Amino acid sequence: MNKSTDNAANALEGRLLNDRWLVTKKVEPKPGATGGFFSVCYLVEDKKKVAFLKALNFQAFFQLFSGKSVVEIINEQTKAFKYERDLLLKCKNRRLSKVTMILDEGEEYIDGFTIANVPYLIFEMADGDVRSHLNFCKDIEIAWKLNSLHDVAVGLRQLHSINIGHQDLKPSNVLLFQKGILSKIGDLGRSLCGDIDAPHENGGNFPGEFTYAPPEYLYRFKEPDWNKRVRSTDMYLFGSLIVFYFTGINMTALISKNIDPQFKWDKWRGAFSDVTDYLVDGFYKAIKEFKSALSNTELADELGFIVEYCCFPYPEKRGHPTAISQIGNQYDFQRPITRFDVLAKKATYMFK
Amino acid sequence: MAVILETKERRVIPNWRDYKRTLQIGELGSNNKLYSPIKISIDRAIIDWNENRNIGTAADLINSAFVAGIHDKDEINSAIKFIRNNLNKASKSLLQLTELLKVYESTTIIHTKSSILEIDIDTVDEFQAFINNHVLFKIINKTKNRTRKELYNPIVWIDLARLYSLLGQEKKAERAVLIALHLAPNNRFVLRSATRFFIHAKQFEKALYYLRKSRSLKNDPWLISAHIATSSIMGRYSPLIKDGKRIIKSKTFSDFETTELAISIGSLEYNEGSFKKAKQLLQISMRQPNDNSLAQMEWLSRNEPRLQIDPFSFNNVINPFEAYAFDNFENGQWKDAFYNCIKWFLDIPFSKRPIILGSFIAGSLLKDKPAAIALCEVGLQANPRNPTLLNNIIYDFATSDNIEKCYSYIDQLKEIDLSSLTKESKICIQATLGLVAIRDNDFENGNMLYKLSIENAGKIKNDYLKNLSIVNFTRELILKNLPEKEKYKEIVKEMEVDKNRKDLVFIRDEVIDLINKDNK
Repeated sequence: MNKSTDNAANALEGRLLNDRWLVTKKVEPKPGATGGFFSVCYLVEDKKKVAFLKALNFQAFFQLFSGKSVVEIINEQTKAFKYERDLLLKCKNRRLSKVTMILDEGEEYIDGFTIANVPYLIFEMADGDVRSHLNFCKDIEIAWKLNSLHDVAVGLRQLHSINIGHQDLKPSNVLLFQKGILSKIGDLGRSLCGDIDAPHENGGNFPGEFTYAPPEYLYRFKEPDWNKRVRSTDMYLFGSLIVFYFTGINMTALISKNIDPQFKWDKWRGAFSDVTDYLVDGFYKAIKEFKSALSNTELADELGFIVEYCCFPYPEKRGHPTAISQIGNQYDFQRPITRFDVLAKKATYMFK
Repeated sequence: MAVILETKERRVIPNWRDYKRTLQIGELGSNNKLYSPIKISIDRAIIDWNENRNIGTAADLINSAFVAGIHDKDEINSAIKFIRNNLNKASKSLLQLTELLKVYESTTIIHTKSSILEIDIDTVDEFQAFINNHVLFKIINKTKNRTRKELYNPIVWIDLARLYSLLGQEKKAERAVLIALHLAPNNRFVLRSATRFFIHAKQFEKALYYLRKSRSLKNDPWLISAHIATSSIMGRYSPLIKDGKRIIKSKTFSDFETTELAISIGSLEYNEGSFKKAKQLLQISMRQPNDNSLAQMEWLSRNEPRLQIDPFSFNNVINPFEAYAFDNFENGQWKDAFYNCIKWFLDIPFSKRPIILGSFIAGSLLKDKPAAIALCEVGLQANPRNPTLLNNIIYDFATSDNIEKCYSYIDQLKEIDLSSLTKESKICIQATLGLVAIRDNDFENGNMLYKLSIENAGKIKNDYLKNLSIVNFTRELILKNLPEKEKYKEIVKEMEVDKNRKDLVFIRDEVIDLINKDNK
């Protein structure tokens, strides 16, 4: 058996898993999935529904990290897989309605391979991610966008309530269900949890995708307080998502666009604390630009305000101005949830 | 008589421009070699784009590419093309981002201009229009509105303070500076601007206090240089000179970043008589000078033959107007010197030095009295009690035979504590008051004041002021045909003038022409 065929993860098609799920078809990794290269994905079905299976692909690790020892690789990836599974089960147990649900999980033994065990996770099947649904032209589908953002804010609050910070919220991780009516947060692969040690925690570095990272991470600043770091990061990522929904640009790119190139993170050779004031100046310009993308001034002001307190370039100033003074409550999502709820309802008749 | 009364010792005080131009000049960057950027991958966005091409995945890829600073991938170009072909789905901001990616791909942005001004003007008429059209008030209003919307933006507060300073509204300016310092006590732009403001307001201790309070001070060459300059004005030695030398030696910063620091310490060494040490530092400073270090070098070179320099040979310096103006002036190129003064003033509008030099050139050398008066009036807005500006405007009105106006400014002059003025200032004011008296046909007092001025200049052995006063007095004696004119004609004819003082030579030659005409 050669290297390419010695891969149990590729041999799941046609098998019945956990006496329930029939593996019907191999597919590309689901949109936005962390470690797509390290997974083999399938469609599976039981008597009621079609679902999505993600199987851990050990072979890919050996290809990618050929210098590392097998034990090391298996250990690392097993840890990562187990971590994601535990988080998903935690979410499932708490019945989080706006986070993609794990339906089942297990490990299939397939004889005849060097590594015969294939751990897998089965998720509810999404229609796609939010990118396929967005139109960035002025005033298009405002009510839908507001509803979707409301769902995302609720999802983040649900995660925070069980001490999980998503840390990788981006358009590809907002999954659509029920023909786009319902949005849920997907992919907890880079999340951090206060109760379980994450294998990717890495001393306060940004665990998510850097192209969406809050500015402090790009300038190598590490906030030592775990709660503050994790929660303020999610708050930034949420504000950035709002901006993306209406302009097609995330806040990190929009701030970069509005600062002088010498302050951009890839040019700046100083400390984060020395660049923050220039980021603040660019940030206010970014807010102005974001608001100009909306025709309705009332909505522009409402969203501009939310984005301003979610995305402030440094963590201390994030959070609703009133909430900042409330200990333990600064990065709570209740206020944006309430506003998005109201705005989404208004939008059906006001912001047409 | 109108004068320049150039400072005895020029210091490398930070120049205070608006934020936009300070950025363009490059004083706010950080090239500390200790830090390196993070490498960012955009592979995920590329894979998504290749698998599913829609406006969302295109935007996702463009965002990722822009943040990561990656521009040279086929997928990025195809995503840009997709967005441009789907204008009905793209926002204005997203389109702009695609354009920016293209710009970054084709060029590295380098400012090659030697002049960056808020407004560029070619004539004095345009200059007067600029002053009179209430542009400033509109800008102030706009900036005030920004401070209300951008509560935590210290940069807007500093820009507002600068605008108030232009109008001489020192209290309002100080309030704005203090707010900015509260918001950003360690920011270089804020601290350098605040230092300039406090020096302008003669609150030197405050300038030092806020510099000292900043945790950035010891490792920022731009701030150490500001601290050295402020201490020097106060006649003190900055304790940070050692840190400054360490920074220059470490080569952690670029030549441009240490240019002001090197020339600050170099100037101190020069004043101490350590020419060898000074020269080394001055040479370091001139590797990549800015307008301030170049002007300092030009100033040092005026009295030191071993430090000759041609400011026009530094092509990469942005806004080198001060150095150019003085170089033109030294060489008797009055018109060029005047226009460089105007540009210098437009660059740093609350500074009195370009106004004093420019108004002197316009009034005494180019004989353009309206221009000289306009300049003085503008300068008095930001510096309402400046004795040299008041002296010069009185001189310009007097020589324009507008005596009524002279008296209103003399009243302002009376409000100053004249005893606190330097001997040089007193000599000039005595001569100017003598001029007003003679023009107002009060010959007795006029003669007395001019003679007092000449006598006092002799006492302090200032030949330049003494001769300038004699030349001016002689002109008035001839114009009014007063009895003592013959005596002074002879004095002027026999006068020995330092050939390097081309302004005095020029004015003396004019009076000699007048003498010759009078003799006919």
